[in-house]
Amino acid sequence: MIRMSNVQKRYGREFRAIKGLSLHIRRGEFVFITGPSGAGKTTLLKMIYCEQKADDGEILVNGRNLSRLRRGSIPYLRRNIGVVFQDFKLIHSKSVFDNIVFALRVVGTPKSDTKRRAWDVLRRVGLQHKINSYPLCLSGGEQQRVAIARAVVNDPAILIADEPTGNLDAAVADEIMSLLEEIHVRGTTVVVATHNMGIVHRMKKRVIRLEDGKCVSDTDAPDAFELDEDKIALVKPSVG
Amino acid sequence: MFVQNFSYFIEEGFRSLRHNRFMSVVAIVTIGFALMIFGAFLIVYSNVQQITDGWIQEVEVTAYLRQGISDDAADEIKKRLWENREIASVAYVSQEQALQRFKSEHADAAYLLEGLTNNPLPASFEIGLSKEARSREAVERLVAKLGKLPELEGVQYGEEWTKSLLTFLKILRLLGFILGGLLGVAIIFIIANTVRLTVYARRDELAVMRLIGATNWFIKGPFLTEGLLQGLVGALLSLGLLFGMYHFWLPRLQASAGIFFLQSVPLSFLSVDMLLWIVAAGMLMGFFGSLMSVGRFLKI
Repeated sequence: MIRMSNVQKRYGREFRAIKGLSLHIRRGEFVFITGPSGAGKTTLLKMIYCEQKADDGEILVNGRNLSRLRRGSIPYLRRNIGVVFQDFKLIHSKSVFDNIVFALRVVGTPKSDTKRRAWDVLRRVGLQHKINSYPLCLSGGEQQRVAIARAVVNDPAILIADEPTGNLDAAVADEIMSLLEEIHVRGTTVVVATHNMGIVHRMKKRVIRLEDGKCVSDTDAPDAFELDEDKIALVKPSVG
Repeated sequence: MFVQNFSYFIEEGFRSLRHNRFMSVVAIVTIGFALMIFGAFLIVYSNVQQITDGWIQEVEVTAYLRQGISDDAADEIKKRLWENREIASVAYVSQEQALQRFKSEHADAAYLLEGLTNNPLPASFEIGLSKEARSREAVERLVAKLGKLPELEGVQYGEEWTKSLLTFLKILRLLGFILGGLLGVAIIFIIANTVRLTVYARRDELAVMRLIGATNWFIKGPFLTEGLLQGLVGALLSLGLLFGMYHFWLPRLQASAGIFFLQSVPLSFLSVDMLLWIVAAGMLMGFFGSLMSVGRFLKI
């Protein structure tokens, strides 16, 4: 589903965010990308949904080679990738319902389908009672659930979440992760970048750890925690 | 899908106009005044052109016959003149008729003819021009051709004033291009600036649109519609102002004694074609103005 070979990414002349990264994420996997701040997690995700272009190496997403992708084709690639952010990125001037409808409209969903699909997805994330509320009237957890609803309403093959629980307390963070797990069970490939090693610990999924733009460990689900306990202890104090 | 997108663009375009009410009103009024100035110029130009067209159509060429040409010979020449495509009518004015005409037109100067034994006025042909000969070049060609006829002594037409009239029209047209160009650039920049503010205010929304897979045209659409609408409303405002001025202000101006030229000439408003051109120009400039702003934003 996502394959990277020897990918390099530089910001300016000096700063190398990604240094010769290679990885393979299979269809239907749930993968955590962890690592300290500045390790290159966000850059890695941005390259998957074409917000950043690799300077070198090859990235294949859903069989498409991103280095050969024309600018005009990027929107069509993104329609197959849902993205969730730490700061939600909802449109504040639109209601919860309209935020979802908008995502459907952008990809040309027939008007007759939009209402039904928006309603369905909001019910899935448990926000059917908030459809007329505006984002700023919702709690952080609710806003993130709207963002997830928007990301999955078009049934993308891949869901990318960049620190989805960064602004949420532990209980709400668990709720959000359960929601992501539910989406994964339905067949979506989920890639989550996070600092929150507690969550990583509980979820027992594959973990790719980045440090200084390089992959320092790639651990499959069952063994992840026995192996990384030391690192979890090291990273935990920095979690807000 | 196209219809759905189109209705979305219109909806969003109007929403944006409402949202940035103050800036939109400023832009629309400025466009309205700029196009009004251009429209007023077009009214002046089209009227001057209409008047000069009328004058040029009335140009008559008078060809004077040499002394001693008989009426029969004159008949022969008249037949030959008829063969020219440029000539629509030929009237023969004999020496006698010329004298009678002079007497009736200048009754108070009858003393000038006293004491004359011979009729000094030459016989002439008064030549009306056909449609294809109603340009300065065609008139000059015809005059040159007539000048070669040995029976004719001289050919006269209002060459001086025709020439200066046509030069005046050319200058007026050039001025129109310059004025139109300058106003056009100004309008494009006004719209570009207003739309740039909207784009800036909605940059987060646009970033979200890009992330969820909106094509560039889908993102640009509402802004282009906003520019088009500003151009359209501005153009309609300018036509309203022009119409108001034409019907309420111009009659008063004509009535005032100072403008003798306007008093005697029936002036007309812009033709439907020109009205449509002004509206189309407003919309087109609105479109390009916003394209400039949005295009720049999407490159970032």
